[in-house]
Amino acid sequence: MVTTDEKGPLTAKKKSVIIRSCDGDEFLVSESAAVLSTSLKKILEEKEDRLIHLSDIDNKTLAMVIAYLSTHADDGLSDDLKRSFDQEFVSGKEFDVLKYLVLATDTLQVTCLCYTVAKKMADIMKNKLVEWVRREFDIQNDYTPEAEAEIRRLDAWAWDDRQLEDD
Amino acid sequence: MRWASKNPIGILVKPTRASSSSKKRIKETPIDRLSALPDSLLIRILSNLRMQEAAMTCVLSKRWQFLWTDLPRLEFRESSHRTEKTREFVAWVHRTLVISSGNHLEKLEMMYCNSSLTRLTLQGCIMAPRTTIDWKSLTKLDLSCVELRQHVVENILSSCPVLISLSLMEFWGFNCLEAHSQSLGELIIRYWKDWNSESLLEISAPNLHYLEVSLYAIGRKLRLTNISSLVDAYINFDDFDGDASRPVNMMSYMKELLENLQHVKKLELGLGSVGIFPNLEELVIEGVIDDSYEGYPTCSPKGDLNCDLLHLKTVDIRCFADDRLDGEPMLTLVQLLLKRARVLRKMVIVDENESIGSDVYFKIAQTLLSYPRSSRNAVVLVS
Repeated sequence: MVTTDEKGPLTAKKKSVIIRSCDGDEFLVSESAAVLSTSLKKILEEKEDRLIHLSDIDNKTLAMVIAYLSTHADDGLSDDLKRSFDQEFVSGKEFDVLKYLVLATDTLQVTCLCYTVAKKMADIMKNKLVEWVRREFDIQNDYTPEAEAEIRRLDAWAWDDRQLEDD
Repeated sequence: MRWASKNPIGILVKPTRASSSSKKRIKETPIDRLSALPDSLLIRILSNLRMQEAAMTCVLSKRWQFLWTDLPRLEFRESSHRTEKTREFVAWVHRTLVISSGNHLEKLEMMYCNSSLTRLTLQGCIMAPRTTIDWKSLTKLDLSCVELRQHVVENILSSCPVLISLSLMEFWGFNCLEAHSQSLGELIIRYWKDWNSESLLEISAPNLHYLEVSLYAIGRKLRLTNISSLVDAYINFDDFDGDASRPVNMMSYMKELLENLQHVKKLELGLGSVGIFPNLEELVIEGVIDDSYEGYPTCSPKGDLNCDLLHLKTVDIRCFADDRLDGEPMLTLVQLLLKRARVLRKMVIVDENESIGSDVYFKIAQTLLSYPRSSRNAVVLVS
């Protein structure tokens, strides 16, 4: 548990680990929070080392994941409170931020958050025109116009009766 | 809220080069903000969309073309009765299933209200129709590797009024098949895979004229009742289902089974049936030839036995050759037994069929005696 109101993090009786991001920032995290990540749990089981270096997660993303883990490891919080934390956690975040989060939570195997983030990303795409998705996510259309027309014709069934937004 | 009063971010103990760290993100300037993610994550995102919407992503770019077909849940729904729509739908489902790797598939659902279906083939699924089946035009149904509960089988059989042919392979979930439909003439059952030991599969089908059953003999029994229209039957008992420890006890019901089949005009017994009696010491095979039948009851050996018969000492074969078939099926059977019976002492072949000409008979006997024998002490008598 990461707390500032107990005896101070560095002297806390509960075991802590240090997690370092790919850009070198180090975070002190309670072990109870770290083990909510299946990957971190495995690392901790395998080696004594209290310093874990994550070579592909940047500091901002890591800070967010740790915030999530710490909140979920806090026994003092009710499940309802944790759920509303989750909703607030993903709301208002930019798509790029969510992308790094979904990658990080997949790597760290924080399954629950990974699904929450993936769902949020899907919500952003929901009811949007193909053109909107392409534009918003800079997806390069590498089909020839003929090929695209053919795909649209073949999968016409999927296009049925749809009301889509382009804004 | 309580977490807000804390520092939930964890304690940043060693901020490094704070000014530059935030810019050092991986994939700094991704050309494509979404496509850079691995397939598994893109599929995870897409699985939150309605399937139709997820399917539309195929048009985004080539990277996306087939991605959605690996969704864990594929749910196809179509309720239109317009022929054109139906054709489009069927073609679309077909294309999707051909493309889909199925690696991640957890659920496949097809809501398809169409009573003009005439042939249906399904493999590797659990048949659990949510609504009443209504396959008014279905004539041929092939199911393999399927779980079929008793009530589902009953539902299917009672909802396919013109079903002619039913084929079930590697299935489990029921043990009684009652097909009283006027139309069902052909039934093929291969490898009923129920787990219970000493399971009994009962088949009752009064209008059936062709029946093929292959069963693992170990721990499974077959009962045929009410099969009065049956003309042609092929029954095969296989001895291996990965569990050789369970005893084979077939004799007790074999007689009943064969009695129920006595009216058929053509009966083929799979030779696995002999292979499952490795301890057999004496074997008597009697062919009944009755000219009142249009054809002859025959036992056509096919293939080979999959084990040696280590105890078989005496074989007695009576009235078993058909001159119109040049001595078959007896010849093949004798050949197999001579090859597999390691300690055979005596084989007596008696054929009282007077219709066989002496020259034909002599030729058959010569062939018989020329077969290689694995038992050095075997005596073969032909009379």
